[in-house]
Amino acid sequence: MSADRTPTPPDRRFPRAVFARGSEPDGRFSLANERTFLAWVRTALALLAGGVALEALDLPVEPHLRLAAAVLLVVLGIVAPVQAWSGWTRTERALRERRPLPAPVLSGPLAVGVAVAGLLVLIGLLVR
Amino acid sequence: MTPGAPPTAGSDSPVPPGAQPERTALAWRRTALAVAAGSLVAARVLEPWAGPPVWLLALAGLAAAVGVAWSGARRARVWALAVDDTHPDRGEPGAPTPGGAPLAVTAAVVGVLGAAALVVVLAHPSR
Repeated sequence: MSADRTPTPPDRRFPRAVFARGSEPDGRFSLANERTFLAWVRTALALLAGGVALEALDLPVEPHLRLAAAVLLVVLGIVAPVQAWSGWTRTERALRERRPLPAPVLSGPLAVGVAVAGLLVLIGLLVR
Repeated sequence: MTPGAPPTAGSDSPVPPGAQPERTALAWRRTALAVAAGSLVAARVLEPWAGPPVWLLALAGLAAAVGVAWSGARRARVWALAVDDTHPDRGEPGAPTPGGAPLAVTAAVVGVLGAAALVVVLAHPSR
């Protein structure tokens, strides 16, 4: 490494709230964080597709329960990308500052919500 | 790899260092596929109600999927330089890792899709 290497350019990565703090973590942890983000994004897409399909397909489910289940799934699908981004920024900050990683806030509500939606559809199937 | 030993992320990890950027690139590709599949499913399912114009939206969805895949591939190259000690183009130690802008864009687009899905679900007539 030469003594007169060119100075590193200023860090302009977005968002500054993450990259201005702490120091570079092991890249493999950041990559795992990125994959987690993408997993939440795919979860969101699945929830949205499920909600739309539930309402748009001619399923023999009681209409009010079907609509409630569909709305629930779509609402979860709207919150999931919020979790994706919020989780990514919080985790990346924690990695940079060598702090314990935050737990995903949406995991519990997501599990409950999907179970409730399934239950609504089941009841709607039986009641119809 | 020692049987039963969990993979570690340290420098003596049995997992080859080049695998992590590749796994992340694959995750981007899976996400692109999910976007494409979701667009087609949504179009197919909504066509009886909204008619042929849904296929224009499906086309937009496929374009978005291509964008996601391309963004992921581009990031993988930057990550490989930053992380992979054995990469032939390895730059100086501390090569910058990619920032979070494509992630923010992806999350925002999915959020907008979600709002659209809510409108569709509420506007769709129930029988």
